Amino acid sequence: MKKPQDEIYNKIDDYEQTLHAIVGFMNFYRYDDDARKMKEDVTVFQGRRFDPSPEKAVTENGDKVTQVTPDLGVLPASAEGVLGEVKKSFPADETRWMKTFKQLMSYDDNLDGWPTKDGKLSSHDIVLLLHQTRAAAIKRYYEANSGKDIKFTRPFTMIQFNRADERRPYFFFQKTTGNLTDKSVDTKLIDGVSVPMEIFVTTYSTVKIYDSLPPLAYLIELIWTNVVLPRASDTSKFPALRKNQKIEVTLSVDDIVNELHNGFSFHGLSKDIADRQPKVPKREWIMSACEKLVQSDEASWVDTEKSQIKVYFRKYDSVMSHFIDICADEQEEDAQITMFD
Amino acid sequence: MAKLDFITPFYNEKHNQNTFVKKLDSLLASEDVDVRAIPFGSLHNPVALFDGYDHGSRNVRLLKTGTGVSLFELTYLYKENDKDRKAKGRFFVYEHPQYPSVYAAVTLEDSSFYLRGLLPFIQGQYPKIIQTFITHKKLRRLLEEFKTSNGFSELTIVRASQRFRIRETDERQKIVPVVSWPDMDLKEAFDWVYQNNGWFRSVKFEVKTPLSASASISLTRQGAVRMNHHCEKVFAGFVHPVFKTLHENIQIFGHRSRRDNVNLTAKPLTIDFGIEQFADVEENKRFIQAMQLMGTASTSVIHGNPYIHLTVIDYYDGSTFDLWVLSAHQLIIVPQMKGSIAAIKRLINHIYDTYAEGDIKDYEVAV
Repeated sequence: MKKPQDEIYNKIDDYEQTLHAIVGFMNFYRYDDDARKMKEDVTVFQGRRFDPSPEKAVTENGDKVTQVTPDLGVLPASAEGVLGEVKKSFPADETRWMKTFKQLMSYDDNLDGWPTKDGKLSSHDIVLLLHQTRAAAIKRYYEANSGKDIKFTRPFTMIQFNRADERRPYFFFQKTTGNLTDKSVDTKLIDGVSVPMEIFVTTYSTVKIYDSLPPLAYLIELIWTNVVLPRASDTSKFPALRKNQKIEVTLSVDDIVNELHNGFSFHGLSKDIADRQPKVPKREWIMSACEKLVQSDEASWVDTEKSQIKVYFRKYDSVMSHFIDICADEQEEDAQITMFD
Repeated sequence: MAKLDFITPFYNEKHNQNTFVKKLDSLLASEDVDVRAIPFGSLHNPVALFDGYDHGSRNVRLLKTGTGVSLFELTYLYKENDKDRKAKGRFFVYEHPQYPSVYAAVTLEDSSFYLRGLLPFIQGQYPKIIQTFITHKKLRRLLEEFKTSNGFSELTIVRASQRFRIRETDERQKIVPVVSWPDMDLKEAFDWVYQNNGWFRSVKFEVKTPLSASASISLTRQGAVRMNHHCEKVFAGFVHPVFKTLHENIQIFGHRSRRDNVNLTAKPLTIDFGIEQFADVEENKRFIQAMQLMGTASTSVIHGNPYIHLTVIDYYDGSTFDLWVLSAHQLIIVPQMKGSIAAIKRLINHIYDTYAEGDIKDYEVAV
């Protein structure tokens, strides 16, 4: 039987794969193959908030659509834009697949919020980036429903990706259906492109969260290493702190959000267009992480409003393993409760 | 007739960094003493750092300052036969004339002062002070060049302390210390240690020319030297290359913290092993185990197979790093918000000592 810790590691791996796929795909537009460097005039963004046109501001069920937030967006200087969703996994239940296509169809709109002068763009492509293991089934589903429940007026393309776990690991991207407006990217993706991971190691090390809830242990490790540790290490007690001793670090939930947002989200790639960019990590994610720290006696709330937390910093041999163990206990308890429900 | 005392006038003189080593050389020709030097780097001015240092068992006071050379007195406590003892001795801080932030602590005192007082004092200043290390390959080259450029007819290793990166059956790595008198020539000794996946912690050797008396010289992996003759030659052959390495370390490891860079950009480094070091996936386990041996640090494995992604925290000063192995020949080190020179140095030193040595470079994307 798999240990709960292994499941958490797998979830972290899934989260990172999705993030790396977003980075990899964006860079088909950003990376200049000839000059071998990033183009300055290509804008990329993740989780940006767009306003729908009046025609699409209400769904067929009568629900109001306030905003749409594609997983990825690209705005090249002299070409059409791209908006898309990334799916590492799809639910087993086929009836739930339409939800993703409805989401994609909501991007097939004269959206307001592009990082242009008037927030508009004459046209754009829509892409679904999905893992290779589900690509064939989703393609069949799309073809069966295309023109009926699934309709696009703008170019729609499905691209499968896979991380090839070779000695020199790489992400493989290949188009499975549709055509991208940017011919140079489209041509590459017909036969598929292998993107070695080492090309984007700097981005992987600076973008560690996107606007999807990360596994709790992963988020706590980010908070501990990048927000709590720097404060603890500024104290005179830090260098000689023994493993059975602790340093109390008081910080606000908002500080945690801001520091991870500035240092480890797509904010670094979309700084100049920050107005419609999401604040990632979301405050509620950080609240959950803080609650977990409090539950496990790693911290306590300072105030009843839970705006400030006092963290008991300790020097753990492996910060990630420590918090995975803590989160695994809960996962195991949950599994047992489910068994006896 | 009483023997002339050259040491007291030497201490009384206000020294100049341009003539200091030459004067040490002359002193060795007249006195039966050893000179010991510990090269180090620091972004702090050591005169200000050391003067008035008072931390319980050690205290330091400045006695004299010349031009780029200052004399200090170190008083220290130690235990001998379960009894508390107190001793003191003098040492110079020599400031390199060209390389900023590069120094050497130099003493004429005996082994007891060096081992109980000065060396622990200098090492205890980490991370404000860093020492460097000489790779196995470079140590060999320095010894060979020292022999040939000075026309020594013989260079015999009389004592060596080596460490082996042992790979036991359970795959746990362990550093095994060995002290031996190899009775081998230079080439044979170095080849043997290299082939056994080891490195010299220190070597003691003797050199002779047909016209001069033999000299006894010791050199450690950290670049500390001890000599009873040929001070200028030893400084030129060993200490100056170590000064240069320290200078290069400070240059290449400096300004790597993301928080110091515009837009919080990362500035990765690589260790290029020069061979397909990670060709076998089993090598991942060995590397991770080597990293888990790092003291005063946290090593978190985010991904271990087939590629490696670790996060490492240095618990001396709170520096953090992402380590990636994404190709067979190199390790990529990405300093995070804080990546101090001392912590980068310590991380690389640990990798060299416990896993393998390579060449340090700025990371460049190979498409």
